[in-house]
Order: sequence, then structure tokens, then C-alpha cells
Amino acid sequence: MSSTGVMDHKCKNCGAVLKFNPHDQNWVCEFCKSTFNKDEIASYEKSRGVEELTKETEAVKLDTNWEGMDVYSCPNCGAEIVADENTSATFCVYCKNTAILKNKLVGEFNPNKIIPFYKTKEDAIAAFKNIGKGKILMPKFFNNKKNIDEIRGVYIPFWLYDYNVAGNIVGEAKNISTWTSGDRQYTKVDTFAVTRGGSMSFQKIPVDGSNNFDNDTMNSIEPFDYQGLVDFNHSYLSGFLAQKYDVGKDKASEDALVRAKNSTNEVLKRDIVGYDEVIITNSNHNVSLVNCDYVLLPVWLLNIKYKNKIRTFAMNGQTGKLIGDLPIDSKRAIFVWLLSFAICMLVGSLIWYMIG
Amino acid sequence: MKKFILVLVTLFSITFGMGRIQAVESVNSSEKIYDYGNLLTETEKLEIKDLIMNFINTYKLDMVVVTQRNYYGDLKSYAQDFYDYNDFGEGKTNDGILLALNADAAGYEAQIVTTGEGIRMYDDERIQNLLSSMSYVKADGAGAIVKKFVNLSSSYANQGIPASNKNTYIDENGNYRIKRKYPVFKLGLIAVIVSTVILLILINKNKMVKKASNAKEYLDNSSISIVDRKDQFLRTNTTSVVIATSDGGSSGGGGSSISSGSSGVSHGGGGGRL
Repeated sequence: MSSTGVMDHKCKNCGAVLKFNPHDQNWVCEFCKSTFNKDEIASYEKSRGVEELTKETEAVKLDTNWEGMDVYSCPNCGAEIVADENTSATFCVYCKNTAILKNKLVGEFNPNKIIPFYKTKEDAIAAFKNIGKGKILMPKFFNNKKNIDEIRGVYIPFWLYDYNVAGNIVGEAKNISTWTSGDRQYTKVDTFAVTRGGSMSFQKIPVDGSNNFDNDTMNSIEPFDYQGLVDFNHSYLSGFLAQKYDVGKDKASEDALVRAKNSTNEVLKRDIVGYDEVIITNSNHNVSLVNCDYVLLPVWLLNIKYKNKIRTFAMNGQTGKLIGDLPIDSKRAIFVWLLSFAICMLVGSLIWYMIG
Repeated sequence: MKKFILVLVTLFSITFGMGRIQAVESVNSSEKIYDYGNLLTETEKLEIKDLIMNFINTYKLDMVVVTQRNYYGDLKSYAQDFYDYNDFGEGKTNDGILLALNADAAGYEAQIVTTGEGIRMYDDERIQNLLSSMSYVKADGAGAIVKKFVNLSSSYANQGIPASNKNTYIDENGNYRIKRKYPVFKLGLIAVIVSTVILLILINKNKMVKKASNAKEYLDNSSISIVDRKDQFLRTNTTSVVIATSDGGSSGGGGSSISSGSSGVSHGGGGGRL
């Protein structure tokens, strides 16, 4: 296949483009409603042979640098598809066909694993509609479906790091006892120097490999269930957007290392028992990278337009965990404060009256 | 055995239950002076009664004097019951003051009992001053003691309620109460803090994006191996501070000490040997 090609999966019954269905983890033809599993698709594409498949799906890359974007020809309708250099799966804006830019998924950009989408677009919308539960400061109509400006299922590039960490911590521990004798209260502080050293392993600490997405937002939709990781197959991308990494594994590992070292300190500190107070003054770590996988993880991104401002929410496409900073309704906040104040004054006055 | 227990229970009841109630005379409450101890001359009685009636009319407080000779019971309880079980006192809360004076071989014992507004008018300091003043004239006899009591009581009543009892009142049942100032600033401050904390918690609930600082969800717990544990004693340090104590003053800021007679009515006052 051409390294500059655009690729889709075709229905063996009618030739229309197939889309991945997160509900049953199969591929469905939206034209003739046929359904195929992964093995059936692989068998069909294998039987047709690489040559035929390539001829049918290959599109010429029209321009290599059009205002910083790559321009492809849609294999379905021939229209131009414009994608930035990090996009590895997108849509044709005219015929809505999924276009998997396979040249972006080769070599070092070929992911080891992928977690397919388990949550549908409808699941994401339903989750957003329920986001206001228990959040009384959220503006009344914020989670209205009509505020959803854009919703995209995106496979986001992640690095998963396996580390062995050997570490030690040094600190001071104190035991504090108090007693009374006569009219004086005595406080005795026994101070100990404490050291703990040990080793432990971390598996698959995720760090997103794209500058397009906020790290804290991507951290907040963790954890993913890694039991759902499967070998990468570009057929999972059909129906979704996908990005390739633009933050290398060495640069991205900085965040994972900080997290691993912090957790190592916590585990070692937890072993210091029998004291009233423990203060860690120094720590050392020897971290060895055991493995690093490049994977694509599923995320629904919702752009919410509220009062002419776009807010982005993210939903874990596997577990359904939805996060995002909700706006604060200032009128509600003032009302809640005043109500709390009034209730406090009332309860306080009642207590004052009753103890009198 | 059962009879022995019954006798014990009866004796206990008499000693600690019934024994609290003193036998008091039932009197005509308009007389005001009840000289059961024959400590006053008729002249003294007339003179003192004039003073007492003037006191009552001027200050709307009742005043009673009762004397005993060789009274060996609890003079305080007797004095309180004498006031409570007779028809003494002005107004709904039986406001007034009573002096019980007992003479025996050792000298005089005096007990002052105040009731209703009398509790407020005669705080502990005034009671002590009354007792001291009476003691000062004891050599002149019971008449001088009683006259000193009446005159000084009038003088105090003329001065009005002492500062120590300005923030007190007598409730509808005659109980001495401290006026409590509504702690508006304290309550307001607490309410501001609590409502602000509640608001911050609710705002924080809207902030769902958090920075990940650890990797505990990716830790293989079976891989944890702690191989180095050292705990070395460094030093011990002992400090002490003086425990702050309250000065034990009258509770709530009132200036009068309170006790109750067998009737349950609150009384102020005080007493002792002169």
C-alpha cells in the first residue's frame, strides 16, 4: 500500500464503508446493515489481496505542505481531505466517510496496542446530561443537549511505562506524649532518625503523547482498564478520529517518573509505623525502564458552547468517566452562601437559646 | 433481717429527706418582727418596725426579722423556710430580705436571706458588708444589730441594684438569672466561616480536572519489597507550660450566690457567727 494513502474498510456485500460499533465491538455497514466481526473483516481483506485493496482505497496525496496541512484525495468521492501532520484518522467532509491515513500509522508511529471504544456517542451525550447531579452551583441549563457544540470520538496517543523503582527515604519521626503534674502540663517529644529502602514495580503508567490535549484532563479520565488492550488494528479507527504522537517517549516519561517516585515515597513512608508524626527530609530513586508501549486510547471529546465560550469535556471511551470543569453560576453561589449563613445563624441561635 | 433493713431505710429517709424541712412557725406576715428569742425590747421592736415599714413602702421590698435563742438547727434552712412558708414578699416574685438572728452562749449567729429582687439588690459583697457591720455593733446587743441591718439595708436599697447584678434578672418563678448577651459577632463569624467552607466544597465539586501526582493505581503490590528499615533514637525533649485556670467567680457574671430552700424557691444571702 502506498505510504501516502487513505484507507477505509469496505462492506463485502455492497462495498460501502464500514464503521466500528462500540456496543458490540463489531463493524457495521450503514448502507446494507450487514455486521462483521474482526476475523471476518481480516479474512475478507486477505482474500481480496493487498494489490486489489490498495488500488481500491489508495488516494493520491495532493500536496505535502498546504499551509502546514497535508491534503489527501477521498477514495470514496474524490473530494479533498485536509488533515494536520498529527492526524491519523479523519472524515471526508463531503461524503462523511472515515479516512484512515495509514501513512501516519507506520514505523515508529504504528501503535503496539489499542483499547477500542466501548462507549458510544449517545453514551457520551447521556453522561453529559447527567453531569449536573449533585452539583448545585452549575448553571441551570448548562448540561442541556443543545449546548453541545461538537462531539468527537478520538483515539489519543498514549505512552505506557513499566518501571522498576528502587528507592530510599530518610526522615525524622516523633513520638509525642503529654501529662499533667500539679499546675503544669508537660510535653515530651522523642525524636528518631528513620530510613526505609525497598523496591517495587509499576505497570503501564499512562502519559498522553499529544500536545493537542491537556495533560491534567487526560490524567483525570484515568484509569483505563488495560484488560481491554488488544493488538493494534487500524480497522478499530473507522468511525473515529485519531492522532499520532508528537511528544516523544523520553519527553513524556518525565511525568510518569514523577508519579512513580511519589508513589514509591508513599509506600516507603507507609512502612514507618508506631510514630505520631513522620517528616521525610530526603529521598533517592533508581528507576529502570522495563518497557514502554505506544498505544491509542479512546476518548470522547465534547466541546460545550455556553455564553459564547467553548469548554472542553472528556469522557473515557472505555469506562465512561466524564470530566471537565463546570462553570459556576454566581447567582446560585451567592444564594447558597446566604442560605448557609442564615441556617448557621438560625441553628446557632437555637443552640444558644436552648443551653440558656 | 427484713425488719432491720426497713428500720435503716426509715432512718435514712428521716435523716436525709424529711430532715431537710425545718419546722417553722406560721405567722401573721404583717408583723415583720418575730422575736422568738426575746432578744429585743418593746421599744426596740417599735422603733425597728417603723424603720422596716418605711423600707417596705420606699423600696417595694419586704423586710422580716426573726430571732431565736439557742437554736441548734440549720439557721439558714430555718430562715429560708420561715420566709417561704409564710406570706412574705412583695410582688409576684415575693421580693424581700430577712434577717434570722440566733443568740446562744457563744454570742450571735446571723443569717440573711434574700428573695426575688432582693437577691439582685443584695449581692455577695453587700451581704458580707451587712454581716461585718452587724458584727461591729454586736457588743451593743441584738437591738443594735437589727437596727444596723435595717439601716444599712435601706442605704443599699437607696443606692439601687449593684453593678455586679446589672446583667441579671428574676424570672417569673422567682429564679435568679443572668442576662445573656446574644453573641451576634461570634455567631456571625462562625456562620461566615461555615458557609464559606460549604461554598468552597461545592465549587471544588465543579472542578473535576485534577493533576495526577502519583501512580498508585499502576503499582504492582506483589512487587513491593522493603529491605532496609532503620530507626535510630536521636533525642528527647520535654517542655512544660502552666495550665491556665479560671478564677472561679460567680457563673455567668452575676454577683449573688444562690441556694434553694425546701420549697424550691431560689434565695440569695449569707450568714455566720458575728
